[in-house]
Amino acid sequence: MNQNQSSLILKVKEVTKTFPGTIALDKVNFDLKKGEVHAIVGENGAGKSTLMKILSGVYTKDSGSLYLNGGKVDITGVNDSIDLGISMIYQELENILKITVAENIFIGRLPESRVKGFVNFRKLFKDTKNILEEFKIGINPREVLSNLSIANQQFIEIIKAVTTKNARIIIMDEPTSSLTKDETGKLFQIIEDLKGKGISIIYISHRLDEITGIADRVSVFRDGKNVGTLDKNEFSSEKIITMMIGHELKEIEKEYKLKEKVIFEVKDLNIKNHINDFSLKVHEGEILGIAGLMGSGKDELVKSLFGLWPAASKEIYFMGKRLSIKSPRDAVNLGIVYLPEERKIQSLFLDLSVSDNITPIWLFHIYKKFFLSSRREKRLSLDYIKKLSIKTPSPNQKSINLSGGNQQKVILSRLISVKPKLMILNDPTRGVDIGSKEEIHDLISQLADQGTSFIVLSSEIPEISKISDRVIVLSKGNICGEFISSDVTTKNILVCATKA
Amino acid sequence: MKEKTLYILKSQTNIIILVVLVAILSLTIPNFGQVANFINILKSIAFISIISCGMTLVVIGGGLDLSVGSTFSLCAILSIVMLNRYNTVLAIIVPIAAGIIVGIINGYISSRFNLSSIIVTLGMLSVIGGFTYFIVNGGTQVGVPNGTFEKISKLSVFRIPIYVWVFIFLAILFEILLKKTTFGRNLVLIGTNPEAAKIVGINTTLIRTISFVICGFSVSIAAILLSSRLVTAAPSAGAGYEFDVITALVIGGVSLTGGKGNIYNTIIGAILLGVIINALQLTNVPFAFQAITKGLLIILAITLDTRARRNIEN
Amino acid sequence: MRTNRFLFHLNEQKILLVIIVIGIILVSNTTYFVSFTNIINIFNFISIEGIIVIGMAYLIILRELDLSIGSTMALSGVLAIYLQEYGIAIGIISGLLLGIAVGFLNGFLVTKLKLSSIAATLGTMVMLNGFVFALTQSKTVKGTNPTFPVIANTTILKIPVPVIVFILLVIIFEVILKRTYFGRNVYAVGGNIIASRFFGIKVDMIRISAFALTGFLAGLAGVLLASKLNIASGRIGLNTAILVITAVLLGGVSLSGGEGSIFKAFQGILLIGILNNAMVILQINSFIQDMIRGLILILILIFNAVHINREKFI
Repeated sequence: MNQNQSSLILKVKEVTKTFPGTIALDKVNFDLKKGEVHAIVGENGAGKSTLMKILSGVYTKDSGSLYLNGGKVDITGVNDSIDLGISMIYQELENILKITVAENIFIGRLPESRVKGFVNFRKLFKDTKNILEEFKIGINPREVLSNLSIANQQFIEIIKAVTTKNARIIIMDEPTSSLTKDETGKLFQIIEDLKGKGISIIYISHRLDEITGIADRVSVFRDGKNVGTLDKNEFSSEKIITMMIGHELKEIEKEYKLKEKVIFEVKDLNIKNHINDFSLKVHEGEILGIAGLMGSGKDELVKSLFGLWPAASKEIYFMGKRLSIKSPRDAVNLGIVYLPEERKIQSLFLDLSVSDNITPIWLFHIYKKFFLSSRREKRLSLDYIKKLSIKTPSPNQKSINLSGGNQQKVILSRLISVKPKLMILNDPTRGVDIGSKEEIHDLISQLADQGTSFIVLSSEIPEISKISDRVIVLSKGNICGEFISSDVTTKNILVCATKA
Repeated sequence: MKEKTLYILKSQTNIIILVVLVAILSLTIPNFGQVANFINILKSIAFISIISCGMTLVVIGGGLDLSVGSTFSLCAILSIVMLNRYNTVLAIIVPIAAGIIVGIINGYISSRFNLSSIIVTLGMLSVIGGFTYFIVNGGTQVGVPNGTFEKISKLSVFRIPIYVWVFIFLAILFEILLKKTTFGRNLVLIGTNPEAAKIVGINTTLIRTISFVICGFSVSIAAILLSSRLVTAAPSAGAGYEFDVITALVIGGVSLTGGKGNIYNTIIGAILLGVIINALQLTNVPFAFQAITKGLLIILAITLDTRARRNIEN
Repeated sequence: MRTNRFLFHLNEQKILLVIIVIGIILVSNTTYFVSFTNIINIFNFISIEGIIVIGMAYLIILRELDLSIGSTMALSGVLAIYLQEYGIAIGIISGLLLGIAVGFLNGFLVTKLKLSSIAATLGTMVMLNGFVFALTQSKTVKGTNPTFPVIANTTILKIPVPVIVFILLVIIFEVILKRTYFGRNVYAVGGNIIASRFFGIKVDMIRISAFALTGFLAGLAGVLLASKLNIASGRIGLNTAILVITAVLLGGVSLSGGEGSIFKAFQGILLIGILNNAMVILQINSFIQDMIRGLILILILIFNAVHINREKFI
């Protein structure tokens, strides 16, 4: 017992973190041994990224304590975290793509030559070469980073963490989502090297097959709690998935009314690096869910359906007719609307009022007159504020002042106001409180019953399984499974999505 | 009751500043408070104001047109050239056509290729400028009065010259366009959040191009009026106008980042600018100071606007 | 994928290719083109603005822009001429100091007040521009001291002093960019400002230094130009910003930052010089030349935008 404890490099004790409307972490306990690879699995919203953000100094905990090497520590900012030797691998934020590998690794501490102010390039490249050899990575130190594969860029990130930031704990968040099998193998080799050096790794991933290969222990997070930790010899995908799901999910008995009429069809959709030969059909009044974890390509898929992302090839049929959707305008004209995943950046006109946020598509699509009628606009907004129970003191309230859930309802009103035939929703309940979440789910159901078709994306598997009539599961750009009606369960979806 | 008053005060800061400033200046500077002086102020800002009305639409849509000065020169030259060669009608139509064409080019290129309209219009500034100098070989065009053209600018109602009336008319027209039409609403949406506007299905390229066209049109009107008044035009006629126009907009409260502001702001800004310059002139402040003031005003206004934006984002 | 790489590298060297192609065309038409005199002509033409190109290259790599360089150049020249009566040295030093001061002001506005570099330098441009017009009363002022024009008009080994200064500065600042801490940090900051700050690079200092450098070079160019022509005028510098930015972009330094070199920017201004020279030899109207320069800027921008988009998705 003592031996185990003395080799503990990190201990998280009863840490809690809440945000308005949600408890992200609920008295979470977690520990990390020296030189171990400790994997964390859990769905979106389970709390793993929140904990990592606390460890890396981006958030501060509300309560609980952190211990490093047995001593209590406080992490109040990113610098604290780095000083303590905790390093998180952020893919985009920390690499400078346009300069060389060597300059990236030695950023901020380039070797000085005899002439003051000048860089000693010979030493720079030589030192870099040594480091690369040490990690057995065959990259040319003079190569510009953007010319390297994503995998190699990631390896450089890891090297930087170890050498520049002297990390003793490295957090890797979904590191293999863009890697090939070979590259994953290389990553694992590097991880073994790191272990040998006594560096500990927190490895977040949903690829259960990989985890069984590389992790010493696995902790499962669910609803803000650490539900349990399994040792290497106790692993099984079955066990882990059960822990991920928990028991309280009421899988609603849905009657799958066979929907005959196909209103929307896609064939041979190809998006460079993201989607391969994809096809799907959507029926009238159907709620089609598209599930997939990070790196599955579902985002790009859905964006290209709406004309927001160019596809290398795609064939689209709407109401039986072959069409092209090259821009959102084309889609909206057809009666297809889209709810983006980042409402503050992509949907909301923050400075403007609730009413102004509800009316844009209606104005252009239904109203179509040159002169505005503020009376009709007001009537429309009041109508929807009532219908969707949007909590706002008045339709003139600036939309930025509304809560997340109400903001989302505003955007939904905007979409519904033009009575669309197909609604594509990308993460419709992200950042929304539980009450509004339920309301939105009910709304989608109602509209579907009245004949509106839906394509819904979510990274919350339980949500997808709850509301969808049919679910397509994506993994790495390909369809790995399709489930209908009573087969639409969180478990089935997860099993499919977690295959490496 | 108190909250409401505060709210009204806050949103009307600019006009309050204007009123207070005018009051102070009327008391401290002799001759300032006279009606004749006020008419002078209006006259001095008339041409800039007309252009500013058009520019307001461009800026609200998220763009900026730095070529207005060159376009002004072009239209002025064309006006006189047409007057000399043909007749009054062409002296009016051709510059208007030119202004519209410039607007189409500016708007289309910056919207379609998603380029910064500042740099595009900067390039067009050269192109138009060069073209203007080219067609008159660098020389000032002296117009031959033909009985009709030069009378246009001499018209006045209630002692207020026509170009002030044109300014008022365009201001009202554009404000209606902005606040009461779907076009105006779409423009505000584009300026507020271009990405969301696209996703909503708005034809951003078309709307923004139209805003540039309206700006070009305003420029041509102002140029025609000036040509009518002077009956000559120099290829450098509009040089530097873009700066005054931007200053007027910015101190009036129109946000350079787009989406925020209206013609009313621009009017206040233009008058404020006129008042300040007038005051400086009446007190015999060296010309250099006027220049610094203008520059400082721009910087001050942009800073305040940036701060306000930042607060919203946080 | 490979064809794309090849085309990309071709694109990189396109400037040299274009230079060679034009050169060949002209050589076959006239032996004058390659003559020593003509080459000196070309360099003479590009030297003054070329000096500023160096600073602008640093700024563009840092993802900034400076629109005030033309006004700085003009004002420095004005100071150099006006303050001559107190001694040439005073005049020259004032011009240079002004440049540095403007640079620091710009740097301050961008880093501390967090204005966008376009907005900030627009403001300073207006201010300085007004200053210039005020001081010169919109007239062209001639220099009074006979020694002053000697500086820029002497030749060493038949090469004019400004050309020598230009070439020396190009070499010096290329070396600084490629081989010193400062230079490497410029690339880092331009490539990813967040990461640079994160790893301890003093981002604000780098940016301020680049603005100060550009301001200084603009001042130097202004002084040299004033010496060369022996006049000071408000007409100077109006087109400089466009010319310099076009040159840097034409040479292949990307607006997206983090890459490029002084040598590339040099190729850009050289190409402009050769184009200009070709146009002069072919006796194309100088106003048309202005137009062509503006057109080139717009065309490069469009080309860049389309090129980047294509690379992203196909």
